[in-house]
Amino acid sequence: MTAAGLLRIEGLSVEFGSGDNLARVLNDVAFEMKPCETLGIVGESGCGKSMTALAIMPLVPNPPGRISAGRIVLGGEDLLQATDARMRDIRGNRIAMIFQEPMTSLNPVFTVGSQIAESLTLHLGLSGAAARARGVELLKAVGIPSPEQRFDAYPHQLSGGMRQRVMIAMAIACEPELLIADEPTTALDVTVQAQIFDLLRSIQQARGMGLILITHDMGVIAEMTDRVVVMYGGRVVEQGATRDVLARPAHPYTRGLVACVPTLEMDGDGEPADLPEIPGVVPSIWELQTGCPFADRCNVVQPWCRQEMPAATLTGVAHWVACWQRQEGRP
Amino acid sequence: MTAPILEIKDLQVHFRRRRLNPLAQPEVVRAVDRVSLTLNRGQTLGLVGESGSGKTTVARAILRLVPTTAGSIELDNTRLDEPSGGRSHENRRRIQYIFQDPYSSLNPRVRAGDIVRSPLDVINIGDQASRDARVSELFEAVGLRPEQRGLFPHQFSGGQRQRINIARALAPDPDLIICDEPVSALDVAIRAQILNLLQRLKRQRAITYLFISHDMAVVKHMADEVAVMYLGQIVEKAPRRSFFSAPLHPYSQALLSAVPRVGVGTAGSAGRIRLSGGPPSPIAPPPGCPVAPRCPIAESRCHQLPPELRELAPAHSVRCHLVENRGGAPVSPMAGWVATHD
Amino acid sequence: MSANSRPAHGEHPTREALRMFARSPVAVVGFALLGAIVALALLGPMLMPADPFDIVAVPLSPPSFQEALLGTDQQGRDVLTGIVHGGRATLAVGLSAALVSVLIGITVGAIAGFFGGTIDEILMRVTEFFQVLPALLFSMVLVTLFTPTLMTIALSIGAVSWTATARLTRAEFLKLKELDFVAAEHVIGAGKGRIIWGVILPNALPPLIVSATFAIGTAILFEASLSFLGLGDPNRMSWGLMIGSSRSYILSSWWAVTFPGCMIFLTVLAVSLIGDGLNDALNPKLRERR
Repeated sequence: MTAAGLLRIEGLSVEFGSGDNLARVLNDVAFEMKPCETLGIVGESGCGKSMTALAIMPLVPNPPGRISAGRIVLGGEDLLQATDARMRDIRGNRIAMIFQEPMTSLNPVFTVGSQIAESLTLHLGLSGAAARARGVELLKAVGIPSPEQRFDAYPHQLSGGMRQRVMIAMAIACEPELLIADEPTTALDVTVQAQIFDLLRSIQQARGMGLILITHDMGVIAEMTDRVVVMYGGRVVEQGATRDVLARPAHPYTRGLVACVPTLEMDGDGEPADLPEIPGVVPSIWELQTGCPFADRCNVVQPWCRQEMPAATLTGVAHWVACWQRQEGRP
Repeated sequence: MTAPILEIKDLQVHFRRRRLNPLAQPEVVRAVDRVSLTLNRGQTLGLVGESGSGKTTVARAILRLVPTTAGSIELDNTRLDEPSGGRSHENRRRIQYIFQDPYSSLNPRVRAGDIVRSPLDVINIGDQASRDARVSELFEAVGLRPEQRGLFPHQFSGGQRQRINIARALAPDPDLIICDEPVSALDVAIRAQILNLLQRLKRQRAITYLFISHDMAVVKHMADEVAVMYLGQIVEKAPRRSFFSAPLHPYSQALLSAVPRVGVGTAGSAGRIRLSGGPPSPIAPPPGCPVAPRCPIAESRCHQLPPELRELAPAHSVRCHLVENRGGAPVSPMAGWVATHD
Repeated sequence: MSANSRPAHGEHPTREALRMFARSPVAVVGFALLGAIVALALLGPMLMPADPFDIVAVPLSPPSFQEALLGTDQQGRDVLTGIVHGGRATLAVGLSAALVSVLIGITVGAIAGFFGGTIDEILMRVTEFFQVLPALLFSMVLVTLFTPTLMTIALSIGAVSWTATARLTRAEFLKLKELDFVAAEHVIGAGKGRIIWGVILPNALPPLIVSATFAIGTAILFEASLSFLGLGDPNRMSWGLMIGSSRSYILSSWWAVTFPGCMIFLTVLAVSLIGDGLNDALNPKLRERR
């Protein structure tokens, strides 16, 4: 691992279709993260945040998608240049991922223990008793009570929160450097969500792991992440330290996102005022025009916004935004 | 304006499940266990709880989508749970439902305009022309264009489908609409649009809402009164202001503190009240208080004796042994705990 | 195509399915083939009005351009005339038997799936009873009980082959009745009839249509078997009857058996190709949707 960082993504673009029927699901995405840092990727559905995670693995479904440009550098190694065999080696070993729906991520006809052991056997060469012992240890590390019995349980015998803990155990089995969590708690109750985030935080600190947290919930971003990347229409529109981005959001979309969510802070008497809205809907990636993808919904849009996508400019310490409002010159 | 429109008294909904052994007594799932609620005209009652709390079952019982085991549901003094009362078209017309999932709540083979018109068709209100006119009016009221009535559900986005759902619910001009997690499946920015729409419609048409959600911030924005359910029982009931500024029940406080907040940063999790374990299964409820196994301050009597719902302040009721009245004002038992765990 | 762009009138799912169907070469070939066979069966007897039971030449004479184009069977009847006239009986019985089996199957499955509980239990036991009956033997019994006309044959085939459709329908209903849009119908006060036939059934149709198509093929083979065994209507020429009456001569006079056999094969093949095409067209998961 170089001192420069754990992960660096440069100019990543993912396309679907071809010719006239082309959709850029990811368009020139770039960000970096340091070891032991928590990076949040936030945006609504269709913005490309899940596709970014898939591209890092890389597990972009091909066909119909393909990575058309960019570099993904993990600790000095460009993952897009790696061979299939090398990637199979890296996946699960150096990078791991957990998904939103633990019920469909776990194979229902095998015990959870055998699924954890599979990863251990594949990557660490453990077998039999050694794999079982380590598996039980992992279940204990993720806070599952009576781990020896639960090792032999089937997924449907566990609650949603427990299944997600099992997923986390499988993910950290080989001590990866980077864990990607794609909306890990959206399907869970809020009290269980709090437990899972506590768990992720303690694991990250204990193992010095980098964590990428993909979510649509600004509150989660605020509490869990050090840096945040805001995505819209396949592009990164803002990124920076979470504190800075939430306190002084520079991009109109980020401002809208932060403002439109109801909060628990007490306001004055009487009925709460209407929530500020971002009008319109997220555009389909098949219908994106040139220029900034947020132009149709932006309240400060200018004619040149539709002509060309602004480049990212610095608007604070390590705080970047891609918006013509913040640029000195215009096209 | 605050006359009650819907009164639920001691509602119980039990399901019987057969066990593998056909000779054994069937398991009884107490999905709703002696729930009493009053909805006032023109107000919004927020019903909050996690999975297994029974909130959706209450809603379905009001609409007779599940049979009730005991208790009564009265709409303006007409019993809904009795066979004659519930079936009448008039009562069906007055209560409508907005479903959570915009993808499975619309018939994929029917055009949007026909979906919105279907309540009028079933109840046989007016003639064809007047029904079509009403559909156009409803489309506009929910922010859709009437020209879109010929499209099929899959051609709309999630937020637009929810608007179709809302238009369908408004079609028979109901007095009461049950909103079952209407924005949970929608994108964050769209939620604001739909919530604002629901508020606007409530003001314009004097509709009463029963708003079911697990999202505390949304409930705070929408509700005039809040009721918290756990394992089929109501554990706290209070007006909005009292509930959010001074919740009394430990479970309510845990729910509120579990919500991740934007303003507090990474230190926000430090003062969190943590409940151990996960939401319980309603098949084998614990004796005593249903929250006791997870409660950080449970005492021995909490595990043995089920607490009653007591009204400790105007319109503010709690089901907890440990909430006391000190000097005329109720005090949360968590006050001391929080101070020492901060 | 989204609701934000121009089109104000969406394409009905049925039209969309037909359009997808027309795009599949396999389906189009099947459709054309079946069309040709149906045309032969309908129009052929008008163009060749000779009675297929007439004796036209020496029995078992091989195909020749001077006399019988496809040869004659062991009674001297012209094979070609038999093929042209036999299509009507085969197709009529095949289609109506499939219709009977599908109607019974959908009704039983829909009621069992929708109501559940005791009704479901009873109907499923009835279904199992019919399922374990040896179908061919039972239909033979039915046909011999009632005089074999095309209608009784069609009814008896239909009466023994509905169980697969019933199970399929029941499975679809069990799945669909839990969906929110069905609950929405209950909420607005729709009656059970409207919900079963007007709301759930149209959504359950795609796999049922495919199943019905294959049922046609099965019914045609069934009819051929019955006629082969001599249990068909002796007054109507059908392809199965032709095969049955000449079966002893299959090795020496292959033409009497092979040509009608080919016709049955081509018909069932056409129906199966159509069924495959419909399956692809109606199954939303296999389609690439934009």
